[in-house]
Amino acid sequence: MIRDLLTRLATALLLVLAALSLAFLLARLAPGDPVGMLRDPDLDAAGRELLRQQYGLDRPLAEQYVRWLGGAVLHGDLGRSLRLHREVSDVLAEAVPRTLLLTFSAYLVHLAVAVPLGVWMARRRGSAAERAVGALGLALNSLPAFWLGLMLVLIFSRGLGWLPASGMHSPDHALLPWPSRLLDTLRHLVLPVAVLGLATAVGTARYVRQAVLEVLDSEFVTAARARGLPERVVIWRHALRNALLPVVTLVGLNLPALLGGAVVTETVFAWPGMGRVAVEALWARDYPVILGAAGLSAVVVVVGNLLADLCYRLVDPRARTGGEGRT
Amino acid sequence: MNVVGRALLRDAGGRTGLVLILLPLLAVVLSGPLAPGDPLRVGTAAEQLLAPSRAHPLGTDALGRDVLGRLMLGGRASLAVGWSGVLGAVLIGTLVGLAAGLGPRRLDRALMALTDLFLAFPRVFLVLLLAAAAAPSLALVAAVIAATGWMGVARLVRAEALVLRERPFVVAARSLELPAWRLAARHVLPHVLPLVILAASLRVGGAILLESFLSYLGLGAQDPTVSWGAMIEHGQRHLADAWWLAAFPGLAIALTAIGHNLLGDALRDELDPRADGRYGSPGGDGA
Repeated sequence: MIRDLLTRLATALLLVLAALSLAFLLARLAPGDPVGMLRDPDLDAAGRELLRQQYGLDRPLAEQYVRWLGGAVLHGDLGRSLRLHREVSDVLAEAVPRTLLLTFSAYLVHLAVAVPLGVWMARRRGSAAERAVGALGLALNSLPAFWLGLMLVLIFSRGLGWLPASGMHSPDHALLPWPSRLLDTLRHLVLPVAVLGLATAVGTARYVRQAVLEVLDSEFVTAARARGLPERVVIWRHALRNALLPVVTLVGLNLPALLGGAVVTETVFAWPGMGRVAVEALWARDYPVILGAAGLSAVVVVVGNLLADLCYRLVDPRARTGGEGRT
Repeated sequence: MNVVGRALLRDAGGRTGLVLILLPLLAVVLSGPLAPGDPLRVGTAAEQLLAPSRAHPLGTDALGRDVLGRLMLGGRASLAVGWSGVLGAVLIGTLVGLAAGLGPRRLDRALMALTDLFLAFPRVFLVLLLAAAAAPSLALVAAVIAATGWMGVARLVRAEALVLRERPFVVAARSLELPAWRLAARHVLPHVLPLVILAASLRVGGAILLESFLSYLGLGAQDPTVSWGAMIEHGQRHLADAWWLAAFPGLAIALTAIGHNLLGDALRDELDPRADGRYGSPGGDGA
């Protein structure tokens, strides 16, 4: 077990390193460089060349890579953003909490809708209403998220004027007393969370429905029913607890999907988080920021997969044997 | 396949899906003769940003071009990129999966490590990195969809091949010392094919969504090529004064994706006996 765990950790570490190398290579494949992307009329060709020398961009690719990786791994130094003139670690430290606020809110809303809805679907299995909700889930899953965001902005911001269209704060945010400041942020959260958390909730509800139905077939549920417990108690106390574990693992640790969703949502709503930072860095060929963001997301995804794996082992004893997995 | 076809027509979801796919296909094929005017022709100032009317059922855009005509033309790009992207992804995934499942153990390990590497990023991130690496075009988008969509198929095919390699008919074929490619192509592939077709059909919807997102970001179709995602991007600039510009292309994408997803679900009911009804395993991975 311990040996297996160590192997897994070592593999995860190698995977992160490989992912960083891949990101480095891909970022460098892109035409243009950060200096070429600077729009400064006073900067002539000689000045740009000087800047390239200063940033070390004129060095061989391998040397730049080793230098960056060495700094990142040995000193935790991710370098400086060539566009923002700030430390990459500062840029990331500012953006990550914002993305966490967005994704965590979306995750809460997602589960708060998906679980009760899934239970309801399981209890009303086969009814016209249940089929209609299932169809709605499929339709919502097929909507382009960025377009859904635009349409919500069109209706609730431009049309009704209820909610702000983009950003995380109003311009006068800093001047407000704190209750209004909180409310201001919450109002900015509503539309992005709806796109990120609500639109896909019906799809998850279909998984919850499936899991609940499977548990309802088991003997302990029959036993609970035989003891004359009300159906409400059987489902919420007995069945759901067992049904939910795989669902929460599935949703909670499906980090790539959640992070990817954040990239799309942040782009549409100009939410100043990781996704937006990464996309803007990509446009400006701001290599240190691209690599910092790629590295961070790779670490999160790989660690998430490792945790999911461990959770499955804790939940399902069958997965504990056979570390080689060639079966 | 005849049996499957008939079963699809029996299933209400499958029927709806087929209609939703055939509709844009028909519109795309007929976009020449049917489109009201030339969708690429720039109109006069009086024709710009007209609300939907009898002359222009879906309105006109900022250059006075008919939105309905452009919608019919744009479907060509969305469908072609979605389908060819998924075809590429499934081809790569099948090859990798077969090689990993049937080949020597060392190859298996290397290929699965590669799969894990590609899965270590959120797909959107990988897509953006790749799409920024060359001049934007629709062919690039299709290639990117293929290059970032094969991992799930590879795992699926590998798992199936690992089971099949121990089956007596494969062991027998192996003992004849057939070349490896022949063993894979003639004896294993036919048994994996239904699974592969299923996986492909479940992924087209997601691929169409991904194409629209990339074109929306300006990484896909470039003027004068029309695509639904690019139309939404244009529409975003006029969200306040001309809602129809962004609304209708998105609706077209949604309906097409719904159609593909319905058809995929119906196909799964037929081909995958493990899945109970409409829910469960080898799902797609959308944008």
